[in-house]
Amino acid sequence: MASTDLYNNLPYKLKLNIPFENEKHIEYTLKSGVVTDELINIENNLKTDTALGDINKFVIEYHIINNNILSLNLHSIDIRLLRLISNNIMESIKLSIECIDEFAP
Amino acid sequence: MTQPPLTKVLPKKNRDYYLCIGLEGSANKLGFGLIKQAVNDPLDTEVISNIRDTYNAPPGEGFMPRDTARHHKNWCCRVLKQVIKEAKEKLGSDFDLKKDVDCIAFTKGPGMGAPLHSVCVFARTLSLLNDIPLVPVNHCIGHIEMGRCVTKGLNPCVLYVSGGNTQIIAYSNNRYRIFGETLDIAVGNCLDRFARVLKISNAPSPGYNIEQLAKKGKHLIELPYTVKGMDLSMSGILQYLEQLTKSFLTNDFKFSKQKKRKLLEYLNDKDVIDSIEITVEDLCFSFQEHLFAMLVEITERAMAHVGANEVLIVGGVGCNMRLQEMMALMCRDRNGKLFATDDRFCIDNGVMIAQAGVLQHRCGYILEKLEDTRVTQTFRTDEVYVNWRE
Repeated sequence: MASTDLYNNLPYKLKLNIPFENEKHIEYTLKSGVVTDELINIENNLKTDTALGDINKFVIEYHIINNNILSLNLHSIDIRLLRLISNNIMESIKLSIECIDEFAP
Repeated sequence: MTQPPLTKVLPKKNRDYYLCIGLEGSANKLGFGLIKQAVNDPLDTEVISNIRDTYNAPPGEGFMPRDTARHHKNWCCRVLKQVIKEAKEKLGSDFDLKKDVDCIAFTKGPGMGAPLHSVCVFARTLSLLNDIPLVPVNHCIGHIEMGRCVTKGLNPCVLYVSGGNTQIIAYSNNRYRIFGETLDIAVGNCLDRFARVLKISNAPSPGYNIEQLAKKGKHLIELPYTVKGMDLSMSGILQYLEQLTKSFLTNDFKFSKQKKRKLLEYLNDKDVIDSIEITVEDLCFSFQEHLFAMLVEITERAMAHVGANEVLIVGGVGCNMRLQEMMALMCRDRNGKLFATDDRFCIDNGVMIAQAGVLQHRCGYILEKLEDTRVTQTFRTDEVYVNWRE
């Protein structure tokens, strides 16, 4: 299944633009597992599970704008899941940013 | 015999010691610590800072993963700032995280997923930001290594008793082997859940409050005792006591005459039994005596099995003085020796994660990809290859 097909099947969407000081900090935040863990999870679940049915319930795509804005596009199968994912991601990003603010060399 | 490869990576600035930060957050305690470990002796460790902040749920409730994770996220930066402040006081004001710290160790598992993940995200950011190697550590190994380091026990049988784990462990051929463990719930969880029935405060810990009440207990009531070979089971004893306590509380803190005669049957004197008033303190006392007797029994069997004469108690329940007293009696009868630590090192802390992490770092542990730092709720003690011991 192509990744765009996956997004189109998910009716609920949310776009988040988060400003950072520089691209390096965005990279640290992404690498720290804010998005990557969820992405790994999606990659593992891309195939339809015979026992559970279609388990591709959410997708996150991200890109960087002007070297300092992290743009996240969240796609979900229902509104509750979308709220849950966005809340989790925002909390993790907040923790990473706090860490960067306090302990950057 | 060849020496373990403990100097594959040398300390920064050609010092004669390593500095390691440990980040722990597998349950309701958020603990960060900084240690200084000598190059020539891995058991020569000085604790530079050991800061802990505990999330306590209201009485009658346990701590929920989501609330605990939120607590950890809120406190991570403040706790680390305190660690750095203490490091600057002890190591000099020129202490610098990036230039001085050799590695950052964090708990990979076992534990509760959400709190583990919070600390993991923080550890990854800190590591990437300052370009310091990241070392994922098994929580149980952290307890064992810190216990060995504090007590200087050479090759003890380890009883690991906490809120999430109950294991009897011995070292053999580069693994900490599990000789016996709980078949259902952990001893700390058992104590916590009993404290919830009695609505005992969760501060500083439910187990500590039960211990204080048990000290005032005088009468031992009979409870189930479930040892199965090297393993033990505690859910039955808990359920029995929960039912008993609920009827005790609803009956105005009293048992019926018939019930009392059954609970104290071993006294064989009805007049004496009828004159006894069983109290909450007696329930706590009896509960502790039965649970700890089971632990002492499997520990003694493990000692006989591996031919050890030393016991090391680690984990949060390990700072219970009554458990230490019972274990010391058993060790004395076997001409053995008991090693135990106080609450600074028994209860989850960052220093123990740092101790295990720096040992892995010294042996040349290199994180190949960041995905290897993903936390896991099930991470058994014997999965770790212990290449820092002979």
